[in-house]
Amino acid sequence: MTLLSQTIQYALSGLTTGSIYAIVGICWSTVFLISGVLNFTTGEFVMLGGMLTWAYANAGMNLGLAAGLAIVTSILVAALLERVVINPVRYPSETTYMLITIAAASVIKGVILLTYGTDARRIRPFLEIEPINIFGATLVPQVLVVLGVLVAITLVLWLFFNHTLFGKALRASSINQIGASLIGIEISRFRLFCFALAGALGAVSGIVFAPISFTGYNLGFMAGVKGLVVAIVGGWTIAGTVAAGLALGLVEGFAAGYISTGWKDAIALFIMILFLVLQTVDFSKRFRKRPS
Amino acid sequence: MKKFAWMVLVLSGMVLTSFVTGFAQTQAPYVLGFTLDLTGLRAELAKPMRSGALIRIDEINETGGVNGRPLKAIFYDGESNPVKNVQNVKRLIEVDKAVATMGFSAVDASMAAAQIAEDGKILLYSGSPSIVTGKPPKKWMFTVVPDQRVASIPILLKNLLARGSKKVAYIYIDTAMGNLGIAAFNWSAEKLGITPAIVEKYQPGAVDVSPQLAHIKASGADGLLVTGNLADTVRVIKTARDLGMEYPIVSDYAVVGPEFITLSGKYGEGIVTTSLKTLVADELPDSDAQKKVCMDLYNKYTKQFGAFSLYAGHTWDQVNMVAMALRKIDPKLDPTKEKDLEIMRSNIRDNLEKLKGIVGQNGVFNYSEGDHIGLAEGCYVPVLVQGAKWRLYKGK
Repeated sequence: MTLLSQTIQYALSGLTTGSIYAIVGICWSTVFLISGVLNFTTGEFVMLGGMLTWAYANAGMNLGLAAGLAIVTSILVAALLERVVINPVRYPSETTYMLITIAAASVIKGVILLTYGTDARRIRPFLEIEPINIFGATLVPQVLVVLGVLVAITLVLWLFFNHTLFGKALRASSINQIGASLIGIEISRFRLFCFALAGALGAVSGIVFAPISFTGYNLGFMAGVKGLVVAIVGGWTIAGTVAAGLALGLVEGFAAGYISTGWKDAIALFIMILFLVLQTVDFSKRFRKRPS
Repeated sequence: MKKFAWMVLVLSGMVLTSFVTGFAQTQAPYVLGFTLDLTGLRAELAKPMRSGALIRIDEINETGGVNGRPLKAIFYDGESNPVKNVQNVKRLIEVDKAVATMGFSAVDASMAAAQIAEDGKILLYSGSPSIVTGKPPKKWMFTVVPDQRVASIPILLKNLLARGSKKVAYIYIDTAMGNLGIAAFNWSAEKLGITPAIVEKYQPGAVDVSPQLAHIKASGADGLLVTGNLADTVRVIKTARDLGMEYPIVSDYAVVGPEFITLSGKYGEGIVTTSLKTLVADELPDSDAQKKVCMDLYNKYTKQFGAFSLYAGHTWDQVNMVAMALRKIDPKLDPTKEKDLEIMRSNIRDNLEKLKGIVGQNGVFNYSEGDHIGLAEGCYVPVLVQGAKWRLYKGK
């Protein structure tokens, strides 16, 4: 392998993981932006998507149907979560929500563990064609699926939040929730929608990633944490999150390639800390646009 | 007349008591105390261990038990938690009057219970890797699992060399398991005179290992050895094949079992690892001393419980050898009496230490005062996946 092909290989590796970080990051930001809930179950929906698709496919369904059903199930679980444990909270605060979702994440993980066991599971790739050679680097076809899904999600959400009435209303009410409820908008319905949306997106990312890296009951936490990192770095906006996700993936890929694989996660978390610190410094605010 | 009646009464009383005590003597069983992680993360290991023990206990009881007494197993769940395992051992010693404690699916459980067993003066027969016995071995601690250093990596390196690899690459998981792996790798590479082309590592649960494999590909290696858990290893193999690395790949022994075949699919074909002999019992040469016992357990197990797991062999060996140690104790000793029980427990330990040339599932055992593992090299054989089945590797 030449240096060029190695570099391309690291970039491809970075783009793949980066896409997943970006999608999971979007899940965090949609829920947090609209409802102010730091939803720690986000990563579990990535796991649910993969595991349920495997389970349905294993029960004899074809892959497309299994994936569709897994997404629907995830949406139902997410909606149920919002209705049963988030909505009834009487004196909500960010901490309360956070603790509730952390507990809920354990429950989801536990149920999957008890139902399907600890084994890692594999889903068949969606494109069953041979890996593609690019200047000596290898592109696994499933990576194209992952990138395609990221592009599609970003486009659709952008159109939705900027060019539909409902999307604009969501954004508007997120700016001032009290104001929105004063003019008669029921915030909790928006929140329900956002939870369901995040559930669906999480499941999709879990499904498209499972053929590359397998799925298992315990992958939710790390996926969730990385998503949170990029959501914070991306300033809770969709474009920012996507950019941050891809950037983080690439940094990880190149760090693993040129420095050391052991440093990968440390670098990612260091970047998050750096951003959190920089955000509290005054001068950074002058250059930052308002979240759109 | 009155005298006669008295005599009858006394006589019948004597007959009755002797009958009752005689009855008790043939019935009071030897209690074998098991603590196994039947639930939790390690449940997949412990369930086959229970099955293996039950198979051997049934076999022994069907042929009249030991010293006229049946064996009785008590299984407690360690919940994959060392503390729970310790509590189980305490209970087995004090409440259930076990003659020996066995099972122990994990190193941490064995280590944690070591002191309790020592204090209770009872055998702790471990089913986890041999480092638990220590050097020199702890007095009450024995195991049936061979030395892990020679279990896999030296055999696999020789396998790669025999298949024409000149530049061997090694990739391992960055955990305690991987650290044992790299130690074994360095130790055996030095012994075999191999200089590795490249050594890489990856994080447990890493979702993407292609940077490491790109390094390996660039190093010009022509043989790859992987150490890791099941999913990680399959991910490495899959990535390597996707990157176009067609040369032989061998994997550390942790992956052997039916799960590897389901998870790896077509990527698993031709992957070589090592296994204890029972898994490929039917393919062993007839000259192999273990062939008969291995075949026997393999057939019984697959008939009753489905796909074979090597962990069944651990407890089969434990029950087998504790029964042998029991046969040599004074048959009059009564396990229900505290004093006799104490003597029995220590006799079992002493007799076990004297067992020589015992053919078992995991190998041929020769215990001694300085060796509580009792197994020489050669317990593990190379196996490969062929037609979605584990088969004995017989060379090209």
